[in-house]
Amino acid sequence: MMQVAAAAPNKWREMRAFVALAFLVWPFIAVAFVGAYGFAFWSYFMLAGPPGPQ
Amino acid sequence: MSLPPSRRRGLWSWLTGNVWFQTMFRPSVHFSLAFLTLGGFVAGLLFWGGFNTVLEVANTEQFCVSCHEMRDNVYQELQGTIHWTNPSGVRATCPDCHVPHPWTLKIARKMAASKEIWGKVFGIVDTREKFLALRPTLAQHEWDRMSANKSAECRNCHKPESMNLRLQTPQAASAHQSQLLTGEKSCIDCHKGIAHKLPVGEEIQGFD
Repeated sequence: MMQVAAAAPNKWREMRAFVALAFLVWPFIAVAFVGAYGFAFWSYFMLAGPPGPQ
Repeated sequence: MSLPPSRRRGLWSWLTGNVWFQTMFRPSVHFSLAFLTLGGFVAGLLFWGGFNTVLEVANTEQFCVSCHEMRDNVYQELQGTIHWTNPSGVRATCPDCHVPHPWTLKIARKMAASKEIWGKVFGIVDTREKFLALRPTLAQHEWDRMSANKSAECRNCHKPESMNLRLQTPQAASAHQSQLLTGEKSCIDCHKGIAHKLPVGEEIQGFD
């Protein structure tokens, strides 16, 4: 964990990085993105009034 | 975990010097594109299903009344109204009327619920008295919202074009003819206080 220089590719480390990305990082980013999207609309409605008929 | 010496040169150089960061932003040496895309595909399926499941659970009456603020006030009042029991056995649950159905508006409403979490944490309506004091404000929020969207949530079930005016009382039929079918007014403009008690009048009628 402590080496700072570019480490040699390691199968175990690549697998761990893949699982972390696929099941933690990207889902977190996706939820954050959807949340920000919802917040943006909420903020807009607070300024412009509630939305009209759909 | 102690900080590497590069920490002093800033966050970015610390990040790019991190072996996990390097691994994540470098082509895979040990795993094929087929395996990685399959993994991403599976993770995406699980995420999509999980996200929608959570969204659906947060859109049930059971979830709404898991807070005593909802269970002890508005939920009690709904019981006994036409939207709780009626001849047809079709009933409305909290989100049917209070959560917009189109996706974007639903997500915006879910985010707006962060204000309700704030209210829960700081006990804004944690007693009957606080609720009654705030009821006019809360009711006005919903009336404004429903007036603006022309009672979209009502119209998810009640279609003006499917109304048989001849089966309505003459008074209702003439009001619907002149106000609703002309688009001048929508449901909520006249039908307030049909699923919960009206803010004013409650004290006058001697409830509580």
